[in-house]
Amino acid sequence: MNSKRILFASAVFAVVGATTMTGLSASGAMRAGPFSAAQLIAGKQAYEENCAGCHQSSLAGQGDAMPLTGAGFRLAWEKRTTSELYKQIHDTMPLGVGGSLSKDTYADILAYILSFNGAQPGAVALTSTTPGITIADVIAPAGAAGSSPIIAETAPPPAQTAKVSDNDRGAPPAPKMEGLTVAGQIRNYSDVTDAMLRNPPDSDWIMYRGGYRGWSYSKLDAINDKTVGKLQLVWSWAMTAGGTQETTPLIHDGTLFLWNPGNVIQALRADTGELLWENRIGPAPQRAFGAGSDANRTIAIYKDKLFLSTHEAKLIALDARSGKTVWQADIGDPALKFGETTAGVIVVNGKVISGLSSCGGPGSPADAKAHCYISAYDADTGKRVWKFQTVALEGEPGGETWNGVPDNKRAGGEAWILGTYDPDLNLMYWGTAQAKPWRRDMRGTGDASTLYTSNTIALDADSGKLKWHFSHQPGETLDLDEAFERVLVDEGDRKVLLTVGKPGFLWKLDRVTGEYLQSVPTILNNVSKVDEKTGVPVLRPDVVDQKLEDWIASCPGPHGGHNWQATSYHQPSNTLVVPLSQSCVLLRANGSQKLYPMPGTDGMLGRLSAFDAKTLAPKWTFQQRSSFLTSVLTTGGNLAFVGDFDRNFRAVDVRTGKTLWKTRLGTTVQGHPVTFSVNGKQYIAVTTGVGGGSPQQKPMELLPEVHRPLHGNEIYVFTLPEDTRAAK
Amino acid sequence: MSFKVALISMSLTLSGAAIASEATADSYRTRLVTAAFQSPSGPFEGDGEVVATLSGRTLKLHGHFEGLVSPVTRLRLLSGAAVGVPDGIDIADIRTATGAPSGRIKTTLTLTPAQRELLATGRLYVQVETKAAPEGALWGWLLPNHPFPGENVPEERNWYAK
Repeated sequence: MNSKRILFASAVFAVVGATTMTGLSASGAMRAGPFSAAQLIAGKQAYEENCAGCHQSSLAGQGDAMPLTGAGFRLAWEKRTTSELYKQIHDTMPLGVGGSLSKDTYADILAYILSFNGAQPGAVALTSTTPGITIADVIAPAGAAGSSPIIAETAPPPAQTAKVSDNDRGAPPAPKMEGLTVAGQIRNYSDVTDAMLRNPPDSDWIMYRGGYRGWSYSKLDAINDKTVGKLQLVWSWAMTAGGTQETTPLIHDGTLFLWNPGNVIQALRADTGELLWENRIGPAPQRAFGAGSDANRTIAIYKDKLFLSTHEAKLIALDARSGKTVWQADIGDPALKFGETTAGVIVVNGKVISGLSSCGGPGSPADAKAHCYISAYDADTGKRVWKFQTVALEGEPGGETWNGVPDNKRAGGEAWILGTYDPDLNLMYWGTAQAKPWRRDMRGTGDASTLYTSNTIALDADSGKLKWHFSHQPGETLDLDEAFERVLVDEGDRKVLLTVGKPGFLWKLDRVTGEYLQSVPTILNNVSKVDEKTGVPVLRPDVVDQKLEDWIASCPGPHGGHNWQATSYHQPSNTLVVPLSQSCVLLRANGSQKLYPMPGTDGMLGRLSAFDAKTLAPKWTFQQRSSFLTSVLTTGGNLAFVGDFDRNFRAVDVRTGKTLWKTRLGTTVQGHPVTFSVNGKQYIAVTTGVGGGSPQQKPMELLPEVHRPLHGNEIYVFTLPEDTRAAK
Repeated sequence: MSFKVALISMSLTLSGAAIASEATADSYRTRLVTAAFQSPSGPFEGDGEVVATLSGRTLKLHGHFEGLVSPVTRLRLLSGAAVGVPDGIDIADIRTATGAPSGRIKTTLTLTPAQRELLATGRLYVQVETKAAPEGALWGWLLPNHPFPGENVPEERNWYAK
């Protein structure tokens, strides 16, 4: 026993075993758990330090992190033994560094998990060699009110220590002061109008993806295929440490507005990096390496205000000139205590619009009411204008598509990536995540389309009313959702929408009607095949018939063939440049995942591919060992910029895929590169960042030779030397 | 390997992988990469390559593997329901010297018509087993021979198995 455990053992007086289970008693059928009460404080601390970042303090799980409590946990584990669960945790956790904790620590964590699920402590401490007993014999039965171990409030709080998951290099962020910490006044700021949002100035990067149509394309061309070789760093800025960093810098009138983890908003001179004002809204990141749910992919600018949404589903408006808070509203429902936002915000017709995630379903604090939605708020006041719920309930249109599953069991449909907007049609286009639980057998919906999950939905921007929808993955079962960017392109008179989801199919829809037009695979998909005429995917039979104990092979795995790293549309060449990932997984119901490289890739996890936007025919492609962790930016200089897990930031010729320039940054290049100009001089800005869901976590397992700092949220700004002659 | 053998009964409509390639139809290749059943806490080491040529019913395999952390115990040609699905269904043992962490592969096999169909649809894979990883240390699916151009080297079109 190490000294830490002795310390905690001395605090055993503070631990009271779970005592609040309904219908259970010491003389009931449940055996005492194979652990001692003395382990629980150490177990809780170790869990918080090493596990809660992904599985959450509530043990409810999120994203790829399976639930460690509730029905999902019971279904996966109640027939298995404590020693099997010990081995699973020991061999695979913390993610990417399995086996890196002491055996005592793993045992303490398991004791805490069992206790959280209602197991009573026994007389003897759990160790790595404790004989396994069936988990159902010790945890609270289904339907009983499970309880977490009660740790008296007098117990010492967990210490702030470096974690294994930090690789001993990233200290947890210290608590920071909140509020307007640097006051300032931007004098050369002009109000952002609706007309500017519809047709952004070339010098600005005024919203997520650069414009309503989601192209991530700029006409700026001073930095081009002939000059890019001279690109050099002009300034950089260290961002708030910890959490998850995946944001988009916004630029307007020479000021760069930057979201930092912990909802620290800063205004910086875009050409020099000088800080103009700072508002630390908080809360500060709780962990050195966030699990993705604390990301914010963009803020928004409109008139004289900046808008941001927070992990806690708050919507906040700041005065863009001074950074002072103007108003605050709730996107989620604080009474029901649910909802998170990671998508960020977009402003359309005077309304601030965002999507909600982490909502609904069994285990939710208010599972009958807490369904996901997209909602809009008046930009002047914060008052809610409309709401569209992405889960259809009984009696509502689409409610019949859940195979009779009760309303309070219908979950998923998160809108975790911002939609795009067609001003002419006044329609917004959003993608939604899959139904939850991911596994179709666990949610009981069969082949049903579970509207409006894994869909493209078209909403009237003023009313939020549904115009049309298209189901990409009815019957989805492998966490392969279709939530990502909708790119809007005109082909003559035809208005189309292009999108790629985790399954890796590049879809083309008519965005006026929702009619399916075409789809092509971009990477190997061995799970489903899309009927080219109807657009309906057909799943592999063993995927449909999977049983709890089966290993199911899925290419791509939950990392997805494509993820939030968005496609760019290079208008001059009518080319889509798509960042792709190539990994497979063996999945089992208990949450076990075994990753392996995708066949035919020579172990290359990353692929960047270009497609003709009209025909969807491939133009060029290249592969590399590391996956791409930024969206793609294309420019009038015939360049595509993209960054990767292994710290590389590169510019490729958008016509050939040939790398023309490359540099190496402090850690993983993650976020959304942008370009802008100040006084006629073009700049490229990109962020590095750590934290995140499967796009960060899966490469940590598949790329063991890649070593990078597990800290280093930062923005880098590049430009050409003064003496560079314009070359076109 | 705990895979369900029942997977063999899969419908061919989905399991058959149409290989998108302009490559020569009777030449196949795979890079041997880390197999999924290795312990995730263990070292991910080892590499290799196998090239296969089919002439009539005769399949000749040439290749090598190296860098394993445990002695090789067996090499096998296996099949699955689709490209990338490791069902572990035996096709044949592949001759190689065992007991070392590296080696060469040179084997001639005779395929049945059904096995040729499996090869043509990307469902045959080579598995290298070691003392430490009896369920597979390396594996690779035989796909139409498309030499790897190198990292960050662009190719026209988009080659992949679909």
